[in-house]
Amino acid sequence: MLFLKLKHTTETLITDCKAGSRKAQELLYKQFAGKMLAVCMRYAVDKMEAEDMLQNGFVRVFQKIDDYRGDGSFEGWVRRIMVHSSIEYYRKHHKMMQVEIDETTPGQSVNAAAVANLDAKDLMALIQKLSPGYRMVFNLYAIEGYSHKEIGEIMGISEGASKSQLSRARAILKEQVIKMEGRNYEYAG
Amino acid sequence: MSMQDKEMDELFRAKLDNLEIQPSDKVWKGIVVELDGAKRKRSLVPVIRIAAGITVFIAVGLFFMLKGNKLTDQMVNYTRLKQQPIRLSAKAKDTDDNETAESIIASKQSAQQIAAEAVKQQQTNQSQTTGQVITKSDINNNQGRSNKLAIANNSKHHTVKTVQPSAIEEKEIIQERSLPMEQQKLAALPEKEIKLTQAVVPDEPLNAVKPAIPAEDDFKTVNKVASVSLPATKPAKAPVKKHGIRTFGDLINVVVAKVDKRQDKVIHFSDSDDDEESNITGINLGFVKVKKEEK
Repeated sequence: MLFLKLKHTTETLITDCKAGSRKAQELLYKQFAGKMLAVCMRYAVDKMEAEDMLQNGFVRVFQKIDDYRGDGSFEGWVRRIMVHSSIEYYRKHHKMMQVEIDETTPGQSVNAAAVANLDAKDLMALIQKLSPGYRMVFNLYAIEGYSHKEIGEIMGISEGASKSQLSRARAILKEQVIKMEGRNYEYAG
Repeated sequence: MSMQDKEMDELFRAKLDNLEIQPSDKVWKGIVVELDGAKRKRSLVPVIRIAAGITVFIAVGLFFMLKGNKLTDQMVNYTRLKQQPIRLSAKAKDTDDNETAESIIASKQSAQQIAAEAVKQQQTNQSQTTGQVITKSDINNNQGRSNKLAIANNSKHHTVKTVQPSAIEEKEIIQERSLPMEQQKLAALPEKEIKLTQAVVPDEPLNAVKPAIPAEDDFKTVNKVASVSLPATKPAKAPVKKHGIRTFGDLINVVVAKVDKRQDKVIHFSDSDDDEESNITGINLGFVKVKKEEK
């Protein structure tokens, strides 16, 4: 594996992919699949859904690889495509089931250390439990850094709706973290 | 220690950023299938589209061409039929200037028939009587005679119609009545008679008759009135070259003319106003050029 990585740098793989080499495509896929599936997982309910997003994303990566001119990191470029693939998937499958309003108890505070103690997979599970709308807004705003205006355009909702959905998503996440934190204390104690 | 929203976002981002989850093998297989499928689709679709486009164009073109052929054949027949009476009327005009544009074609035809019959009768009469008198009867002679007689008969018939014998006509009628005299003449001067017939052709005497008609008799006007309905067929042909968008074909022509500046347009419909339907009279695809001559 190490030998392969040395032999095939990302640049040469990209060049070979542009030439249409299936082998290069496979190597490039293997290089980024793990990370990109993690990205897709945040937008999906489960791994199966995330793999669908990943597949669509990589197909587009290889179809549009000629458009990558080498400005910026290739990983960032692939990641953006994955996010778009996820958004498209959301549009196709979750458009109809919009916001489910969960009654949360706002104003609860969460210990930062508690979040820090949580495993990445636990956080992922928390996000996946959110309803699709909340999950999308939280991902785009909190992790990808989109503005509410952009999110409104992507999801076909108003800026205000994006803001309110974000605050609800955060409230739910906090609540879940507190619950987990309590459990952790129990385990610790 | 309470956590601000931003802090929480940051924690989530940091923790999730380095996460890696290995996908199952089916993902790569799915990607390969999709890439192959897309390649095949992409390469074939435009070719099929172009082929289909060309096929449709040729099919439509042929359809209209064949249809157009049939219609133009019909049109040609129709115009031939139309031209016949016009030619007849033109003849009648030559021989008979009294008849103006309003003259009834049918009556002319019958007039000529009557005239022809009269000529025959006279010829038979002549052959009966001139058997003794005319010794040298060559073809020229006969022709010249019949010519003159025909003219005489035309004018005679005219007199029947107008019920107004002019001086010249009267003379001719007298000539007809006194056949032996004419026969003598004909027999005596066969060569001159040919010249005479030529001299008669300009219809000068008939012109002279012209002013007399409206002034003297009411029957002529009745005749005119009766014939008023017909001229509609003739003037209808006159404004043929007036161009307006009347048919769908005209509309296409105008649009094509805007786009295609060549002499032979990519497609051209007939622009005659006679027929209700438009026919394709020209197609120019660059390498294939078809053009029907318009009549």
